[in-house]
Amino acid sequence: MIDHTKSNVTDCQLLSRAKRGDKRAFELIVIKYQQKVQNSLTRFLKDQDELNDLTQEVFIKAYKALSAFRGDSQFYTWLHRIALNTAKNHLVAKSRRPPTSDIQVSDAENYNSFNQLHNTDTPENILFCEQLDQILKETVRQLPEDLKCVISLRENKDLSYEEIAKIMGCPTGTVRSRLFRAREILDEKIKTLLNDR
Amino acid sequence: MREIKIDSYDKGQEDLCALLDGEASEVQVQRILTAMDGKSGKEVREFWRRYNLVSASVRNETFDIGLDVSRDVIAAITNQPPRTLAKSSTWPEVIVQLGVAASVAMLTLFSIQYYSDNVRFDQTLRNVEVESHNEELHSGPAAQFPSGFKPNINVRTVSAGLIREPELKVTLDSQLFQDDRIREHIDRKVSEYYRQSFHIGRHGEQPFVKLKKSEVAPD
Repeated sequence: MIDHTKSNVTDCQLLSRAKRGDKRAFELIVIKYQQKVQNSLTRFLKDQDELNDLTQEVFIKAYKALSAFRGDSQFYTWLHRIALNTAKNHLVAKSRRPPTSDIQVSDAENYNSFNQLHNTDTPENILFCEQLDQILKETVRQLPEDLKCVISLRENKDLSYEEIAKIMGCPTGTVRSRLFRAREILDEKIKTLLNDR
Repeated sequence: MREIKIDSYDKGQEDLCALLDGEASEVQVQRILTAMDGKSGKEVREFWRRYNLVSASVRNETFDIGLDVSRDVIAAITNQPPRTLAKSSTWPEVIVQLGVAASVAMLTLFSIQYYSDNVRFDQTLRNVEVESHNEELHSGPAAQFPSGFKPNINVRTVSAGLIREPELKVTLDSQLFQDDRIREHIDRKVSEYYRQSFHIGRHGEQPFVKLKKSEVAPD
């Protein structure tokens, strides 16, 4: 399992501002975690509209209770618990029995959306997401070796810039610029696909 | 703060990249948030969304390009400040809290002091030895005072049960009363108390001896 240590740094930076009422910081948090939250909810709900409504509700509850989050655990673990409770309460309110066992945080992150989540989604959207995923993975494989190495160490090993710099024997600034170039190439691919859609 | 442009290889994308990796400085985070309010706001959000999407894909996590509830969430929480669990106290609240704390502390001190006095009084009574003494009973209390030391004894009565007529001599613990004259005087007073208790107690009353300050200090 990947340790999202650096991800926690990002969360802490944004959450500290969100706690002070900065909604822009919380918006970045929502964009970052909305997919994971919805993945957690798919175990309980299949209807896409219900899923979207509950995903919103989870984040609204999280925002209202932000001061209760003290950073003892990862933010997503806390968010995942809110998502489970929200889904269960929703089912109870609708007199539907919730699942007997909870889905674990790690499982929720890797829940296969193409098999589970998009059962209610349109076939076109499912196909598009699959194509997008394949294209992105292919683009990563075709990246120059230094860029591929740096993005792999960052995303898959969750290493810091300094750690990557030591491994690759280059300055931290070089790691930073290589990561940026790799993401720029991948972002261009996504942007083109989305615009052509 | 200067608004950032996000069109090509510039600070805006670099900042977002650093934020995604947990390597952004506070200045960079502030730059991003400021840009969200400006003309580049929409682009910043789109970049951030796509960067997270790329990250999810490389990590083999799931993603859905159609999902975006961020605007609805922000619209819902607008004008809703996050609840604070531990609100910092204002100065009048602090004064009230201090007052309550001081009152409790004083009450505790007085209680301890009162309890200590009672314990000492009980200890004194335990040290009192009651012995039979016919001579003192018949000689009367006036004859037992040293010359020039004749206390004006006031006796009041309260209820008590019947007691057997004793012949009493009361001796106090010498360690508690170092001055011989005072100790002797108090001994006599206590003896007087017991004699009174015998005579009056038959009528269902409890006597006690009241001393004036001048009587305790003979000179």
